[in-house]
Amino acid sequence: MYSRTNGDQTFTFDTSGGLLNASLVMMDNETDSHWSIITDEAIYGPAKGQRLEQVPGSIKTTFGDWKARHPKTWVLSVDGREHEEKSPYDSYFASDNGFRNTVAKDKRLADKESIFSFHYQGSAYAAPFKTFQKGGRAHTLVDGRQLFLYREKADSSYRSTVAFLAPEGAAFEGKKGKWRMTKGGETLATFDVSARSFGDAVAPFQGFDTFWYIWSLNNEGATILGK
Amino acid sequence: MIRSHHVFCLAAVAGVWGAGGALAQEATVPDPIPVEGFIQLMPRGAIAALVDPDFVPAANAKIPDDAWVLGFAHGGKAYAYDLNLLNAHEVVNHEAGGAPIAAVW
Repeated sequence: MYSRTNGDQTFTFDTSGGLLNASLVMMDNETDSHWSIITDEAIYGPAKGQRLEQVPGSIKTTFGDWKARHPKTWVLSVDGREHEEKSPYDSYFASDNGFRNTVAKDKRLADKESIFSFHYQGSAYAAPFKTFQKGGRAHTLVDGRQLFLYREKADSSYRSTVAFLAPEGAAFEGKKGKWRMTKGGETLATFDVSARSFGDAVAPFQGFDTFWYIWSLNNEGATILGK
Repeated sequence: MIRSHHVFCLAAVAGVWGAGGALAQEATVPDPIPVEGFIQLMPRGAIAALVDPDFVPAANAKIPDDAWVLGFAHGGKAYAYDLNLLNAHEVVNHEAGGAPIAAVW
């Protein structure tokens, strides 16, 4: 989810009809610049180099789950329809091949390895699902802060990984599948598995789920967590 | 909660973009921009982004509980975008909780 404002300018985005290393490229109607959503920046045109600001607060989940959390939610409606039954993604998800047989140059992981990916302090990171989808996992990042990742093996590919960055000085501790966030030996919050949340104690950390070939082609030398 | 646009799918639009391949043969596909790794598959706007689309209250929405959605809560308001509808349009431009946003995934 992106803010469409950058400085004094508000953009309206169109599809460009092109891809950058197999990821979506938009064009804005105001300057006709190309914007890559995997690098968050304009890659060509008058706005080249400008960055898009991500807006936190989004998640992929089922409508039933979302509605339970947000009973007053508004639902996108297109030509009187709020749901499309057919998904064009199923065969792609099931295949070992990248889009149009695109392959990763970096062979540390398989092309279609599912990963949680993010940028932190200017560096790119990738955490394979298989390293944290069984009970969650905490990683210590470059500045000593801890990142907690959680998903379940049975989760659909469509369900978002949840991630939390501990406040400075705090840490995540897991015992028998139960996680808590602590500071100085004191429990600040416990992880609610059903809500996949530490409540209001820590806001979700922004990253996204993707495949290795897409992430590595757009982020050379990404650090792999949890190998 | 993560930045959901999530790029599992960015590329993934195999069906949509596959269809676009056929479409692209009928319409004029512009030359690709000179950026390494960029390919131009179809004309700009061949997949129609949405601008200020309609939203209906959950109680009036015809969508099953097990449908996958991109959920977004911002500025005291919540929005759900059916992923298959989002696939078909790629980008949704609208104002959420007073903020101009682009929903993509």
